[in-house]
Amino acid sequence: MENKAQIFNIAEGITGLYVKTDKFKSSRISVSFVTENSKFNSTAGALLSKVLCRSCEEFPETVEMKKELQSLYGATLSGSTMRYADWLFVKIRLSHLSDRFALEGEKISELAVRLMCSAIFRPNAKDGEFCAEDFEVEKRLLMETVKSKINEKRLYAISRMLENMCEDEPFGIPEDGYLETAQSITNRQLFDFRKGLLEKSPVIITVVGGESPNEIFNLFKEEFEKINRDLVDIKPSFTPVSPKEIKRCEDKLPVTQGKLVMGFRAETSSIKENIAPLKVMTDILGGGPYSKLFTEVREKQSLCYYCAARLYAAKGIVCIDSGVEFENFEKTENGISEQIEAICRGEFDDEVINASKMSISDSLASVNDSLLDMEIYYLIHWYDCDILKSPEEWSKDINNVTKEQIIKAAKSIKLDTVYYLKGKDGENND
Amino acid sequence: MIKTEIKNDRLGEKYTVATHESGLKIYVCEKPVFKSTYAIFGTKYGSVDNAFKIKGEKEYKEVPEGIAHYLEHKLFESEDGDAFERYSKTGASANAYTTFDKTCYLFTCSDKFEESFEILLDFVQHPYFTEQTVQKEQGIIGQEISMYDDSPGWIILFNLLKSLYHNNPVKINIAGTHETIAKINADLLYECYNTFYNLNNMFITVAGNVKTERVLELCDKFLKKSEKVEFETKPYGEPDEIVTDYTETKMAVAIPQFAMGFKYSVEGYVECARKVKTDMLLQLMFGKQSEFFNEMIKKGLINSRFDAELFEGRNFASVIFMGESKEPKLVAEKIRETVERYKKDGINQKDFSTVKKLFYGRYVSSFDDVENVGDMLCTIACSGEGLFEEGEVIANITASDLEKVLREEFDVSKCALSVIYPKE
Repeated sequence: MENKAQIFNIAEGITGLYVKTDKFKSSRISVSFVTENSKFNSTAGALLSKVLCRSCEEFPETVEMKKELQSLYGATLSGSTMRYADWLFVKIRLSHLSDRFALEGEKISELAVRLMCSAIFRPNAKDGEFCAEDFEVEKRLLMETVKSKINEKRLYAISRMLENMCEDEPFGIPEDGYLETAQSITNRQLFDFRKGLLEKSPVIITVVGGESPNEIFNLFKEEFEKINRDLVDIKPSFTPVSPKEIKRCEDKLPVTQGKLVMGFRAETSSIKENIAPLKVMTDILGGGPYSKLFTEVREKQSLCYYCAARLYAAKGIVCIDSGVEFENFEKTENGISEQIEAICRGEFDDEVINASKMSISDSLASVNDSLLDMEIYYLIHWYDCDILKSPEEWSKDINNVTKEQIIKAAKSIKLDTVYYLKGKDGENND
Repeated sequence: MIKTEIKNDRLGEKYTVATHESGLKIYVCEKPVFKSTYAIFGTKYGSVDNAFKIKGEKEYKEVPEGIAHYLEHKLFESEDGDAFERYSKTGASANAYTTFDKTCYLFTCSDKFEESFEILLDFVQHPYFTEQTVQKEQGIIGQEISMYDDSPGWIILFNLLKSLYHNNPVKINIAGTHETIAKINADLLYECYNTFYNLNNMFITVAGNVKTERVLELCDKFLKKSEKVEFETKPYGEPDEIVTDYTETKMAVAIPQFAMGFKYSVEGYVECARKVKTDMLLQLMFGKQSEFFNEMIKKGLINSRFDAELFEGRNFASVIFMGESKEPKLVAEKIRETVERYKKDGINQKDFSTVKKLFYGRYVSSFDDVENVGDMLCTIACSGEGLFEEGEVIANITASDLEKVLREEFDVSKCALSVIYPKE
């Protein structure tokens, strides 16, 4: 059945998720290793994911590896990390054209997946270390990536707020880790980190595409059978945090526009039961052009070009961010707080509730139109919920949320941290 | 309505082009197995159209920089409310953008397409500007401009364009400046609207879960009768030479940013074949599999944010390289050396065959995304070419085609570098 997701138990701690779909001309496979998030792991994970995709035993020169992928009609092999609650996914991803479009009858899928396996299981390494050039190059690139985050001011401000808000929690760790950790990590440590992932981590292999997954899962099963696994099972859990006082923090950079980011915590003992109301509440607050922040803070008060809210569901964190002139920080902060209070008082009508529900449902309905969206959606839902809830089923939960639940969700969030990105005195961008 | 269906059996795709009595063209690509639909109602009016006259008028009128973008913001408002309120009842995700040579109003939806399509066609055809509503937008757009002022990618692009172009209005900041937008009033907005938002100058594209016939019926129903407005944009005369080969500035960045451009001569739009050949050349010479890229990476001179592309639109085109480097001038020199080396040595046939496969694979996969297909239709709505032309070009291209483009286009005397250094 089109878009139906299935679970395959490949081996202990190794799960396959397969979403059957024939509508695309390409397919996508990802291998996710789950580990605890920490300063070291986030940095090592980001670095490892890049080093593994650079070369392998079969193609020890990176140029040859890239040319091989290009010859497979532009197959892409990439690595990244994804933060989820207090855990980290270290991911290797492959996308490739479907076999039916090969001009010379090549078996693109088989060749591409075998290359992916070479990258993961037979890296370009010797005596407990990766190829020195690969390691040094990717280390430098990672450090420059971390340094360059400052260029995208909006994302930088959000990341800094979360770092401050969650300074004692793994969720506060940026996805690519830290500069000083990247600087000090050794080749041997990285190689041991890979070994640890292969031997201990739960692994989720997601296949989205029309071809049968059995061959792919069997290939991975054979590879993992060669490894002595001693699984350390990791299951997500939610620990409620009650903010005791509002943390205020700031950075100063030579910028023209200030950034204000506010972090709120949902005070609830069980996040899973409250995700749907929190999601709708966050959307009504700052999701779309019908939202309180858009209509009141942006349109009516003309305070900002953007003022939006997002929910980090697994952590029960609501983040509101806005770009404002420095002199309007306090006014905007008050404006935002007023809108939350308005929701707590029930000052929103059925029209905006329906607008929010329709908007969220519309987005969910389009998940199955994107290979990437399907991969992430099913990975997160299975990992967090142990069941494969379809976007349509999740949409029903959203549509069942009541006004009372929305008000309760608004009342449950408490301001934890306020972050300001201010200008440097006397300096801005000319 | 006159309509033509164009098919590509190999891809399993087809689309229809229809012409409304007003001259407006409608492009529809049905993708019935997808749930979502993406619609654009666009006008061939952007930031480059800053001086114009109606046919028969004596003088050209110059309008404030940023007005096309300002108009885009204001068009969502009407006497009864705004278009976003109407969209909130259908669940569609709506947006708009203004670029150098066009302004597009768009939405995506998984349901209630007809209701959302009616809203789109209605609000774009019914402007409502008052001094009060225009004034209110000053604060919002002012903040948007401030946001771009802090964006190194945005700043370096315009610094480079000012280095490459003497008179071409592509060098004008799309959003304008705080000073120029202060001069915008309701009368000016109406003047620009009445000139450029004429159906003859506009287009509609729809891709996704729709039926072509129904889309055309809705267009017939909701598109107003309109007479063609004939206008002329002021000729500005752009010499082939560049303005200056180097500029620099400082911003809050971690690593120096650079943008390097090779100016192309072009009238109208760059045709598909020339675009594909340029893209292929860039991939061969500077792509991630290239000797240039890997040597520069090994030496620590560039990082993964290095990119090269053909930046083009109506009456402008340049090959632009962008990236980060502690030694941007050295990277620029290496880029020039690489171009000269390829001109001298020619293109390796094996590498060419590999890149050709890459381009074919990317082209086929591009049809996997409804929004991407919609954007491709938008591109051909402006250029007048066909959706499947790129595939034909890729199939027939030869290495000597690329060598010819290399000799004719990459002129190191028409090349500028712009750098942003970190502010301490």
